Amino acid sequence: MSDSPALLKPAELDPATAITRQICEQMDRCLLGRESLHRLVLTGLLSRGHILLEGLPGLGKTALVRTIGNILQLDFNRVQFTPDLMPGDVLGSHILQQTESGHREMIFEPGPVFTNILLADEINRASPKTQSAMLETMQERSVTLRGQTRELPQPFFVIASQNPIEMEGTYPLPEAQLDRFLFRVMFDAVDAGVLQRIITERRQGDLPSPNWQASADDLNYLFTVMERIYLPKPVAGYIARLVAATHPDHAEAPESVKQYVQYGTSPRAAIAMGEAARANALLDGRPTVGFEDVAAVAKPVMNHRLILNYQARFDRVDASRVLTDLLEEMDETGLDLPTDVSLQKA
Amino acid sequence: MSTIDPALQSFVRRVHAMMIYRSVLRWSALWLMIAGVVVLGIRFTSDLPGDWWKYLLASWALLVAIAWYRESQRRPDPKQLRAAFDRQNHAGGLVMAAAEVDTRSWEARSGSLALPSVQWHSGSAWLGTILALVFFITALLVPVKYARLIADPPLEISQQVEDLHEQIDVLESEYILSPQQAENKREELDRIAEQASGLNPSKTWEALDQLLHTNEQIAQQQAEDALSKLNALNEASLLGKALEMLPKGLEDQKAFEEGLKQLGQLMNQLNQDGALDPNNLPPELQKAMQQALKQLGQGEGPDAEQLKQLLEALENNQDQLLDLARQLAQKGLIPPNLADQFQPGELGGLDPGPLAELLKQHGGDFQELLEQLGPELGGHEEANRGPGHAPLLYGNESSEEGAEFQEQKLGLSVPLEQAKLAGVTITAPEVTGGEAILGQGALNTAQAGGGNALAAPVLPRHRTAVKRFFTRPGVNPPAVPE
Repeated sequence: MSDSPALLKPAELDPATAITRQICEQMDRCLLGRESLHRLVLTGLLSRGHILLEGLPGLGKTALVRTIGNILQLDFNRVQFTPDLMPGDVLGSHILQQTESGHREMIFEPGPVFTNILLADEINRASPKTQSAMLETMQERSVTLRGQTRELPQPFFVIASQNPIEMEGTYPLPEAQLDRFLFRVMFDAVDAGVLQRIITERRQGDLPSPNWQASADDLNYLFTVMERIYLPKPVAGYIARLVAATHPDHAEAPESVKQYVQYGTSPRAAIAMGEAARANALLDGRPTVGFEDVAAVAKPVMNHRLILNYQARFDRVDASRVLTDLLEEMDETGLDLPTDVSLQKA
Repeated sequence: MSTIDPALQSFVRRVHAMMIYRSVLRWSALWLMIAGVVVLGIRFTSDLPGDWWKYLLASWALLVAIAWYRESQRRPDPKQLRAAFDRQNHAGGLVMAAAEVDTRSWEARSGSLALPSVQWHSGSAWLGTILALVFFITALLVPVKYARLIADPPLEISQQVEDLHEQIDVLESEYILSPQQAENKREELDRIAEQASGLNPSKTWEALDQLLHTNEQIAQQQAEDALSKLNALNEASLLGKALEMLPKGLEDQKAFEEGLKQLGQLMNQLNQDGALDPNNLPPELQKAMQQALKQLGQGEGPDAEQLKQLLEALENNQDQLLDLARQLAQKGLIPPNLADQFQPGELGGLDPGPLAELLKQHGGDFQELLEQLGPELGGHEEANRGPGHAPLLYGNESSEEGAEFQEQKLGLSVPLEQAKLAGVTITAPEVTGGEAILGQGALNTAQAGGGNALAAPVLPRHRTAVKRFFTRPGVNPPAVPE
């Protein structure tokens, strides 16, 4: 036990928890009726992951990204992806300029990707060429042009959005790029009560300014604490078994996976789930990751990574339902008790 | 040591105890079933030992020990139990982390962890155990007499045994079976009745059937003998009555003597066959019959009184045979059709008066007379081949003498060499003449192309081949049509 990393002390974790609570409160204050979504997005940011928002226009995707940037005091750029958008429009390009000494040289003009938070609006409208240009930025957090690699500012997040109903003239994201998003978050419509509050409290839809902002030190402290959130081996084992069971030929795969899944999730999903579970534990103010943290993030982590077969399309089964079955049927502990024996909370 | 550990160890012990309890209860149900069967088996075959409950308790204790050992071997992984303990307490991984890192600084915050309850849905196991217990108690308390009834159910064959006893009595009383044979059969019958069991009824029924079949065979054979004797007695009786009626004139003396001779032969034959049993006759008839037989043997005719007594003795013997047949038929030892053939009285119901006249005409040759009167003396029944189930076979074919056949004239035929070529056609030839020929006779219904010679045309291209066929070596060819 002496060789094991030291667990966070309450005195170390509590300030971080307080910061996350403040961030969530500010987000909830600025954007009404999206508490769980705010928590999920913050979980993604703490995990240093990219987020794909999927929802109808006008639901507040841009407002969400703008609010986060404002609260965290991070640079924010927004790119509207269109079919004629070229990689250079996103990454930047070299321009021939004359220097003061009279020489002409190629000067790099950074694109909008050189920011902390990039909102890639309607990312599926861009051509595959431009979508591919995002691969390196999302994974390596760097841009390589003319043989020169430039690091992006840290932290760097891509929050992309796509419209699920207007599919004509779009280029669905390839699996390789989808896999680079930590979460795919569904942006549902708000209920009538929230809408009434928005109408009465938000004239012209203007967002209120946050009355508290996190500093760069706060953000760095959060990332430092994140590194020390402890992932117990049984939980890591559960994540591994969960990801393995998404493959239809795996022994533990439930019936719905065998019936509807063509390809399961990648090891990147397991890594993402571990990180997201850590962030979820941090938001809950716990130094260790529990099974409930995994359950909280399993669906947004895996729902865009599962590739369903035609049978699922015929039966109108989506990834969310398959994952629900998977989470319900798989015992977290792997305890091999007889089926007629169960454990109940005292 | 973590403060979580005591609670965790209690939880592990609780799970282990539950698993042992589960195994013991389930195995107990099986054990009770087996013990019930064993107890039932012992009670059926012998008596339970006095300290049977000690064996029972010892075996149950052994069962508990095996269950404990087995569940100890299959004890769940402590790490998994720790994880389950964490999950049930919503400890957020703290209990799991306690096995790997120092979590004491957080244990005070988490408060006291509750022991999760281990629940086993034991309804079906308890139901099975209760049913097994009921079975065991039933096996222990069920009266042995009922148990024996279950083990060896009786087979109701008293009626069949009684019938067979009566049959044996009849066969013995009629001297068909000797007393020793009858006694052997009775012993065999009693043994079959004693060994009769409802568990294997077919064995008993087969044995009874075999005994019945043997009795029937013996009785039937005896009845067939008796029937032939009865026929001979009837014959002798008829002849005797005819002789009694025959006038004793000078002309008839030869016929009378011849009849007496025939009667003597018949009586001797009957005597040799045992049909004339003197034991069945009154003493005076016995004496008369012996006297008559003696005289007949010496070729002397009996007087009227002796003949009358002889006829009476014959009737007595007839009655005895009829009585035998009636008794065998009553006991079902002979088939009804055989029993019906036993008829009292004279042969074929003939009146002895006209027979006497016929005997006179035939010079007293009774056998010849019988042969001539054979068809009329066939008996009261239809013609048959005697007792038994032999099929009735046809003999010679019926004679065609006197039968009339319908005459049919055959039409005129023309020799082939005189035939004229009317024409050549590849289809069926059109009949333009010769209806008189074709309209009657053997070719009346012949169809063109039906295969007969008249209708089959020979085409020019086949003519050479046909000619070659008829002129092949070794064959005397008929005239080839040109």
